[in-house]
Amino acid sequence: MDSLLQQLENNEAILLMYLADELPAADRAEVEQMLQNDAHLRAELESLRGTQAGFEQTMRAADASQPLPISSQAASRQVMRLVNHWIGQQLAQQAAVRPMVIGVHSHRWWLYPLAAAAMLLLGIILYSSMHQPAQPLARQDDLGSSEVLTDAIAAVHEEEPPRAEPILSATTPSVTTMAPLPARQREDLQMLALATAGADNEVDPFIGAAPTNHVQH
Amino acid sequence: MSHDVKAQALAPDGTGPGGPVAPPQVPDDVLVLQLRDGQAVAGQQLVQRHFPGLIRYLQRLVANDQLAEELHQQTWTSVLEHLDRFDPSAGGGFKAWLYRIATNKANDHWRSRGREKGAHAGLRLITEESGPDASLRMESSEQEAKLRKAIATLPESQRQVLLMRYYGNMKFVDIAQSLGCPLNTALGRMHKAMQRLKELMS
Repeated sequence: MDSLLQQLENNEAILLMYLADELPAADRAEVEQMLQNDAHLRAELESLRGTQAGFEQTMRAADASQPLPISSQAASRQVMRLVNHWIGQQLAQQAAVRPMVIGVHSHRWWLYPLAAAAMLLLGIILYSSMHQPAQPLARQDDLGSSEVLTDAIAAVHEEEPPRAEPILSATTPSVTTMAPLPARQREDLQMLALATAGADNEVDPFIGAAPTNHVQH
Repeated sequence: MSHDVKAQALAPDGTGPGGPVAPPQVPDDVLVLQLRDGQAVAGQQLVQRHFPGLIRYLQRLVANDQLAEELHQQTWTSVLEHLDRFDPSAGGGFKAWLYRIATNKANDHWRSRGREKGAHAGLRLITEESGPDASLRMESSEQEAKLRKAIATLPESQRQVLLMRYYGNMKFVDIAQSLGCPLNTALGRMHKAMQRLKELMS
């Protein structure tokens, strides 16, 4: 049973709790039953109640005649100075801690995504450099075929080398070392070059301005 | 059996020693949380709410106005220093915690100055009166002087329970919690104090 009454050691404790109205309802009813049945307990209760009442009355009179050590306003001012000082200290401590916390978080916020992006970009660059398509070779092929045409034209106009040759030489040094074509192929290429030059006088972006003057007849 | 015994118990009717006290609008625990958040107004409310009882408790406990004022400040300083340790669910609430700190401050003072010396000083101050009408007051308040002397001669532990009950208007359960003793011990001290007062004042 969780009765408070049963936890109290003696009648004095029970009566004090009863007078203070700190007993649960069931315990209180039980005490009242005890008081009805026990005259000695009733007398003890009345004695205690009288002493208590006398004490309270005298204390009230003593308090009324004796001023407080300090007025409420003065005490409030004193303590509020302490309170304001304490609040200031708390705010200062929070302000000292906050930048450190923000700094740590900002590093995480910035550095990790940035590092990931940097690593990704580096990987893409490395991958693309290692698996780069042979774009210059393809163009070189184009140049090679153009060079063949140019070479053929040069064979027709032996007195004047193609104007694009320096450019080709500069970009493709191997052009100058190409083996000469057989005579029949050279004739076919000459015919092809003439036909091409006559049909199209546009500038070849890879070999510069077309030597249009050399194909006029 | 009359059911109005509460009205006759020590400080039971909600009137503190400084006069009628308005019922608190905001619980102490809420004010403590607001103070922790830096709201000075909450601190002011707490101080003003507990000032009349606490300062009278200290005044009667140490029987020295100047020391009571000093201990009042020390108590609130300690409250602020340990405010983060206050646990509303620990039992007794803020008032029990406040009075416990005040009692500890008084005990610290007595320990530092020497118990005997403090007791003598207390007795001297109890019988001393200040002001121009001191002799008149002495004659007119013989019973009060007796009471003060009787309170001062009580053992410290009994005096603490008695004054905490009257000025703090605290339940015995909370007094026991505040003093860190069993409920039966607190009740035993109270009963002995009442018997002793009855003998000295009769």
